[in-house]
Amino acid sequence: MPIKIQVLNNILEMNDSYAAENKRVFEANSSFAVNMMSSPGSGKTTLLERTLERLDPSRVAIIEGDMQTTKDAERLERFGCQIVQISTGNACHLDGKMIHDALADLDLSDVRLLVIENVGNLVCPAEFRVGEDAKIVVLSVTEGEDKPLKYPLMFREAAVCIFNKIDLLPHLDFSLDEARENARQINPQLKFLEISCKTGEGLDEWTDWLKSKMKG
Amino acid sequence: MHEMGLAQNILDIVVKTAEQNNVDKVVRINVRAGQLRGIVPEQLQFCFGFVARESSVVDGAELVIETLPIKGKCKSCSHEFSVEEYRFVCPECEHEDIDVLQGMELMVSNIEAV
Repeated sequence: MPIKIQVLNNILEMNDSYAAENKRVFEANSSFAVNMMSSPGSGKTTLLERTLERLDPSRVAIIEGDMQTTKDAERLERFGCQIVQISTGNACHLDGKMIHDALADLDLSDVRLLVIENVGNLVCPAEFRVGEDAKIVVLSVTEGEDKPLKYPLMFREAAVCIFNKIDLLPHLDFSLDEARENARQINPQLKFLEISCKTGEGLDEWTDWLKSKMKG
Repeated sequence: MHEMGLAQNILDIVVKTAEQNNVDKVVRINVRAGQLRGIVPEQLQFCFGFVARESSVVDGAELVIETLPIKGKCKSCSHEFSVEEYRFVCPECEHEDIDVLQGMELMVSNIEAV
Protein backbone atom coordinates (compact mmCIF):
# COMPACT_ATOMS: atom_id res chain seq x y z
CA MET A 1 0.00 0.00 0.00
CA PRO A 2 1.62 3.30 -1.04
CA ILE A 3 1.84 6.05 1.52
CA LYS A 4 0.84 9.61 0.67
CA ILE A 5 3.28 12.36 1.52
CA GLN A 6 2.07 15.96 1.57
CA VAL A 7 4.34 18.30 -0.35
CA LEU A 8 2.52 21.52 -1.33
CA ASN A 9 5.59 22.98 -3.00
CA ASN A 10 5.29 25.72 -5.60
CA ILE A 11 6.91 24.40 -8.78
CA LEU A 12 8.15 27.89 -9.62
CA GLU A 13 9.45 28.61 -6.13
CA MET A 14 13.10 28.85 -7.18
CA ASN A 15 12.26 31.13 -10.10
CA ASP A 16 10.06 33.33 -7.96
CA SER A 17 12.73 33.76 -5.31
CA TYR A 18 15.21 34.92 -7.98
CA ALA A 19 12.52 37.26 -9.30
CA ALA A 20 11.98 38.70 -5.82
CA GLU A 21 15.72 39.27 -5.46
CA ASN A 22 15.88 40.98 -8.88
CA LYS A 23 13.01 43.21 -7.86
CA ARG A 24 14.94 44.32 -4.78
CA VAL A 25 17.88 45.25 -7.02
CA PHE A 26 15.62 47.28 -9.35
CA GLU A 27 14.08 49.07 -6.39
CA ALA A 28 17.41 49.78 -4.70
CA ASN A 29 18.62 51.46 -7.92
CA SER A 30 15.30 53.20 -8.70
CA SER A 31 15.25 51.42 -12.06
CA PHE A 32 11.85 50.83 -13.62
CA ALA A 33 11.98 47.38 -15.22
CA VAL A 34 9.76 46.36 -18.11
CA ASN A 35 9.51 42.85 -19.52
CA MET A 36 8.60 43.06 -23.20
CA MET A 37 6.96 40.02 -24.68
CA SER A 38 5.45 39.12 -28.02
CA SER A 39 5.35 36.58 -30.83
CA PRO A 40 8.43 36.40 -33.04
CA GLY A 41 8.44 39.14 -35.66
CA SER A 42 6.03 41.50 -33.92
CA GLY A 43 8.57 44.33 -34.15
CA LYS A 44 9.88 44.50 -30.57
CA THR A 45 13.45 45.34 -31.53
CA THR A 46 12.40 48.05 -33.99
CA LEU A 47 10.12 49.48 -31.32
CA LEU A 48 13.07 49.48 -28.96
CA GLU A 49 15.20 51.34 -31.54
CA ARG A 50 12.52 54.02 -31.92
CA THR A 51 12.21 54.17 -28.13
CA LEU A 52 15.94 54.64 -27.58
CA GLU A 53 15.95 57.52 -30.09
CA ARG A 54 13.56 59.33 -27.77
CA LEU A 55 15.23 58.64 -24.42
CA ASP A 56 18.60 59.45 -22.84
CA PRO A 57 20.61 56.26 -23.51
CA SER A 58 22.76 56.79 -20.41
CA ARG A 59 19.58 56.28 -18.38
CA VAL A 60 18.56 53.07 -20.13
CA ALA A 61 19.84 49.50 -19.97
CA ILE A 62 18.73 46.53 -22.02
CA ILE A 63 18.72 42.82 -21.41
CA GLU A 64 18.24 41.11 -24.73
CA GLY A 65 16.94 37.55 -24.78
CA ASP A 66 17.48 35.60 -27.95
CA MET A 67 17.60 31.89 -28.53
CA GLN A 68 20.64 31.76 -30.81
CA THR A 69 21.85 34.97 -32.38
CA THR A 70 23.17 38.30 -31.15
CA LYS A 71 21.50 40.16 -34.05
CA ASP A 72 19.01 42.07 -31.92
CA ALA A 73 21.69 43.25 -29.50
CA GLU A 74 23.88 44.35 -32.43
CA ARG A 75 21.05 46.51 -33.78
CA LEU A 76 20.80 48.30 -30.44
CA GLU A 77 24.52 48.77 -29.78
CA ARG A 78 24.77 52.05 -31.72
CA PHE A 79 22.69 53.82 -29.09
CA GLY A 80 25.49 53.44 -26.56
CA CYS A 81 23.36 52.21 -23.68
CA GLN A 82 24.36 49.23 -21.58
CA ILE A 83 23.28 45.97 -23.20
CA VAL A 84 23.54 42.43 -21.95
CA GLN A 85 22.74 39.62 -24.32
CA ILE A 86 21.35 36.37 -22.99
CA SER A 87 21.48 33.47 -25.41
CA THR A 88 18.88 31.09 -24.10
CA GLY A 89 19.85 28.21 -26.38
CA ASN A 90 16.85 25.94 -26.51
CA ALA A 91 14.92 27.71 -23.78
CA CYS A 92 11.94 29.63 -25.08
CA HIS A 93 11.83 32.26 -22.35
CA LEU A 94 13.91 34.25 -19.89
CA ASP A 95 13.60 33.28 -16.26
CA GLY A 96 14.42 34.82 -12.92
CA LYS A 97 17.86 33.26 -12.67
CA MET A 98 18.95 34.36 -16.15
CA ILE A 99 18.04 37.95 -15.29
CA HIS A 100 19.74 37.60 -11.92
CA ASP A 101 22.96 36.49 -13.64
CA ALA A 102 22.69 39.23 -16.27
CA LEU A 103 22.39 41.89 -13.58
CA ALA A 104 25.97 41.11 -12.52
CA ASP A 105 27.09 42.64 -15.85
CA LEU A 106 25.06 45.83 -15.48
CA ASP A 107 25.60 48.97 -13.45
CA LEU A 108 22.10 50.16 -12.69
CA SER A 109 23.06 53.10 -10.49
CA ASP A 110 22.21 55.70 -13.18
CA VAL A 111 19.71 53.54 -15.03
CA ARG A 112 16.10 54.66 -14.68
CA LEU A 113 14.69 52.25 -17.25
CA LEU A 114 15.64 48.62 -17.71
CA VAL A 115 14.10 46.99 -20.75
CA ILE A 116 14.08 43.21 -20.79
CA GLU A 117 13.36 42.00 -24.30
CA ASN A 118 12.07 38.49 -23.84
CA VAL A 119 12.30 35.66 -26.35
CA GLY A 120 9.64 35.88 -29.06
CA ASN A 121 6.94 33.57 -27.73
CA LEU A 122 3.54 34.24 -26.20
CA VAL A 123 3.29 31.17 -23.98
CA CYS A 124 6.37 30.50 -21.91
CA PRO A 125 7.62 33.99 -20.96
CA ALA A 126 4.31 34.69 -19.21
CA GLU A 127 4.94 31.83 -16.78
CA PHE A 128 8.26 33.09 -15.48
CA ARG A 129 8.39 36.23 -13.40
CA VAL A 130 11.71 38.02 -13.57
CA GLY A 131 10.99 40.71 -10.99
CA GLU A 132 9.75 43.26 -13.51
CA ASP A 133 7.61 46.26 -12.58
CA ALA A 134 5.48 45.91 -15.69
CA LYS A 135 4.90 43.37 -18.41
CA ILE A 136 4.36 44.80 -21.89
CA VAL A 137 2.80 42.65 -24.59
CA VAL A 138 3.37 43.69 -28.19
CA LEU A 139 0.86 42.41 -30.73
CA SER A 140 1.39 43.31 -34.36
CA VAL A 141 -1.76 43.81 -36.42
CA THR A 142 -0.59 41.16 -38.88
CA GLU A 143 -1.46 38.61 -36.18
CA GLY A 144 -5.01 37.54 -35.31
CA GLU A 145 -7.51 39.43 -33.14
CA ASP A 146 -7.98 36.21 -31.15
CA LYS A 147 -4.41 36.14 -29.84
CA PRO A 148 -5.50 37.39 -26.38
CA LEU A 149 -7.97 34.51 -26.05
CA LYS A 150 -5.36 31.99 -27.13
CA TYR A 151 -2.72 33.29 -24.72
CA PRO A 152 -4.79 34.50 -21.76
CA LEU A 153 -2.05 34.46 -19.13
CA MET A 154 0.14 36.81 -21.14
CA PHE A 155 -2.66 39.34 -21.51
CA ARG A 156 -3.91 38.87 -17.95
CA GLU A 157 -0.47 39.69 -16.52
CA ALA A 158 0.41 42.58 -18.83
CA ALA A 159 0.09 46.23 -17.81
CA VAL A 160 0.30 47.57 -21.36
CA CYS A 161 -0.72 46.07 -24.69
CA ILE A 162 0.89 47.66 -27.73
CA PHE A 163 -0.76 47.18 -31.10
CA ASN A 164 2.19 47.52 -33.43
CA LYS A 165 2.51 48.11 -37.18
CA ILE A 166 -0.79 50.00 -37.34
CA ASP A 167 0.35 51.61 -40.61
CA LEU A 168 -0.57 48.24 -42.15
CA LEU A 169 -4.21 48.38 -40.99
CA PRO A 170 -5.61 49.66 -44.32
CA HIS A 171 -4.25 46.52 -46.01
CA LEU A 172 -5.57 44.02 -43.47
CA ASP A 173 -8.86 42.68 -42.16
CA PHE A 174 -7.57 43.05 -38.60
CA SER A 175 -10.15 44.69 -36.34
CA LEU A 176 -8.55 46.74 -33.58
CA ASP A 177 -11.88 46.93 -31.76
CA GLU A 178 -12.24 43.16 -31.68
CA ALA A 179 -8.65 42.63 -30.54
CA ARG A 180 -9.10 45.26 -27.83
CA GLU A 181 -12.37 43.71 -26.69
CA ASN A 182 -10.78 40.25 -26.50
CA ALA A 183 -7.90 41.56 -24.42
CA ARG A 184 -10.14 43.70 -22.22
CA GLN A 185 -12.32 40.80 -21.14
CA ILE A 186 -9.21 39.03 -19.81
CA ASN A 187 -7.69 42.15 -18.31
CA PRO A 188 -10.03 45.14 -17.97
CA GLN A 189 -7.19 47.23 -16.48
CA LEU A 190 -4.97 46.76 -19.53
CA LYS A 191 -3.67 49.98 -21.09
CA PHE A 192 -3.69 50.04 -24.91
CA LEU A 193 -1.30 51.87 -27.20
CA GLU A 194 -1.42 51.91 -30.99
CA ILE A 195 1.95 52.36 -32.62
CA SER A 196 3.58 52.50 -36.02
CA CYS A 197 7.37 52.48 -35.94
CA LYS A 198 7.23 53.36 -39.64
CA THR A 199 5.23 56.60 -39.35
CA GLY A 200 6.05 57.33 -35.72
CA GLU A 201 2.39 57.36 -34.73
CA GLY A 202 1.84 56.59 -31.05
CA LEU A 203 5.53 56.60 -30.15
CA ASP A 204 5.31 59.78 -28.10
CA GLU A 205 2.46 58.36 -26.05
CA TRP A 206 4.54 55.23 -25.40
CA THR A 207 7.68 57.11 -24.36
CA ASP A 208 5.59 59.52 -22.26
CA TRP A 209 4.21 56.52 -20.41
CA LEU A 210 7.73 55.18 -19.84
CA LYS A 211 8.97 58.59 -18.69
CA SER A 212 6.09 58.85 -16.24
CA LYS A 213 7.34 55.64 -14.63
CA MET A 214 11.04 56.60 -14.60
CA LYS A 215 12.17 58.29 -11.43
CA GLY A 216 14.29 61.35 -12.22
CA MET B 1 8.87 24.51 -24.42
CA HIS B 2 8.58 25.58 -20.80
CA GLU B 3 7.13 22.19 -19.83
CA MET B 4 10.70 20.86 -19.80
CA GLY B 5 11.77 23.40 -17.20
CA LEU B 6 8.68 22.71 -15.12
CA ALA B 7 9.27 18.94 -15.36
CA GLN B 8 12.80 19.40 -14.04
CA ASN B 9 11.51 21.52 -11.15
CA ILE B 10 8.91 18.88 -10.30
CA LEU B 11 11.59 16.19 -10.34
CA ASP B 12 13.80 18.23 -8.00
CA ILE B 13 10.92 18.66 -5.55
CA VAL B 14 9.98 14.98 -5.70
CA VAL B 15 13.57 13.72 -5.29
CA LYS B 16 14.07 15.98 -2.28
CA THR B 17 10.80 14.85 -0.69
CA ALA B 18 11.64 11.20 -1.35
CA GLU B 19 15.05 11.58 0.30
CA GLN B 20 13.62 13.35 3.33
CA ASN B 21 11.05 10.60 3.82
CA ASN B 22 13.34 7.65 3.03
CA VAL B 23 11.06 6.14 0.43
CA ASP B 24 12.22 3.41 -1.94
CA LYS B 25 10.02 4.18 -4.88
CA VAL B 26 7.69 7.00 -5.85
CA VAL B 27 4.66 5.63 -7.68
CA ARG B 28 2.51 8.67 -8.19
CA ILE B 29 2.91 12.44 -8.13
CA ASN B 30 -0.10 14.70 -7.83
CA VAL B 31 0.28 18.14 -9.33
CA ARG B 32 -2.23 20.99 -9.31
CA ALA B 33 -2.18 23.42 -12.19
CA GLY B 34 -4.44 26.44 -12.41
CA GLN B 35 -6.20 26.86 -15.73
CA LEU B 36 -4.53 30.23 -16.35
CA ARG B 37 -1.16 28.51 -16.42
CA GLY B 38 -2.08 26.97 -19.74
CA ILE B 39 -0.29 23.73 -18.98
CA VAL B 40 -0.76 20.99 -21.55
CA PRO B 41 -0.86 17.86 -19.32
CA GLU B 42 0.32 15.46 -22.04
CA GLN B 43 3.35 17.63 -22.77
CA LEU B 44 4.26 17.96 -19.12
CA GLN B 45 3.85 14.22 -18.61
CA PHE B 46 5.99 13.51 -21.65
CA CYS B 47 8.76 15.82 -20.44
CA PHE B 48 8.54 14.47 -16.92
CA GLY B 49 8.84 10.88 -18.15
CA PHE B 50 12.04 11.95 -19.85
CA VAL B 51 13.69 13.84 -16.98
CA ALA B 52 12.60 11.30 -14.36
CA ARG B 53 15.02 8.77 -15.87
CA GLU B 54 17.83 10.43 -13.94
CA SER B 55 16.35 9.23 -10.63
CA SER B 56 15.82 5.52 -10.08
CA VAL B 57 13.48 6.34 -7.17
CA VAL B 58 11.19 8.45 -9.36
CA ASP B 59 11.61 6.87 -12.80
CA GLY B 60 8.33 5.36 -13.97
CA ALA B 61 6.16 7.25 -11.48
CA GLU B 62 2.80 8.40 -12.77
CA LEU B 63 2.37 12.17 -13.01
CA VAL B 64 -1.24 13.17 -12.39
CA ILE B 65 -2.20 16.74 -13.22
CA GLU B 66 -5.35 18.22 -11.82
CA THR B 67 -6.40 21.37 -13.64
CA LEU B 68 -8.10 23.90 -11.39
CA PRO B 69 -10.69 26.12 -13.08
CA ILE B 70 -10.47 29.89 -12.66
CA LYS B 71 -12.35 31.42 -9.74
CA GLY B 72 -12.60 35.13 -9.19
CA LYS B 73 -13.70 37.47 -6.45
CA CYS B 74 -15.12 40.89 -7.20
CA LYS B 75 -13.16 43.63 -5.47
CA SER B 76 -16.27 45.79 -5.36
CA CYS B 77 -19.08 43.53 -4.11
CA SER B 78 -17.01 40.51 -2.94
CA HIS B 79 -19.08 38.14 -5.07
CA GLU B 80 -17.21 34.91 -5.83
CA PHE B 81 -17.76 33.27 -9.19
CA SER B 82 -16.20 30.94 -11.73
CA VAL B 83 -14.57 32.77 -14.59
CA GLU B 84 -15.83 31.31 -17.86
CA GLU B 85 -13.98 31.85 -21.10
CA TYR B 86 -11.50 34.19 -19.42
CA ARG B 87 -14.18 36.84 -18.89
CA PHE B 88 -13.02 38.76 -15.82
CA VAL B 89 -16.20 40.70 -15.14
CA CYS B 90 -18.38 40.34 -12.04
CA PRO B 91 -21.68 38.72 -13.04
CA GLU B 92 -23.43 40.49 -10.14
CA CYS B 93 -22.31 44.10 -10.41
CA GLU B 94 -20.33 44.12 -13.69
CA HIS B 95 -17.28 45.49 -11.87
CA GLU B 96 -14.05 44.66 -13.72
CA ASP B 97 -11.53 44.59 -10.90
CA ILE B 98 -11.37 40.90 -10.08
CA ASP B 99 -9.01 39.04 -7.79
CA VAL B 100 -8.00 35.60 -8.98
CA LEU B 101 -8.83 33.20 -6.14
CA GLN B 102 -7.94 30.10 -8.09
CA GLY B 103 -6.35 29.45 -11.46
CA MET B 104 -2.72 30.49 -10.99
CA GLU B 105 -1.59 27.44 -8.98
CA LEU B 106 1.36 25.37 -10.02
CA MET B 107 2.32 23.01 -7.24
CA VAL B 108 3.23 19.48 -6.28
CA SER B 109 0.46 18.73 -3.81
CA ASN B 110 1.61 15.27 -2.71
CA ILE B 111 3.45 12.14 -3.74
CA GLU B 112 2.53 8.50 -3.23
CA ALA B 113 5.41 6.20 -2.44
CA VAL B 114 6.35 2.77 -1.13
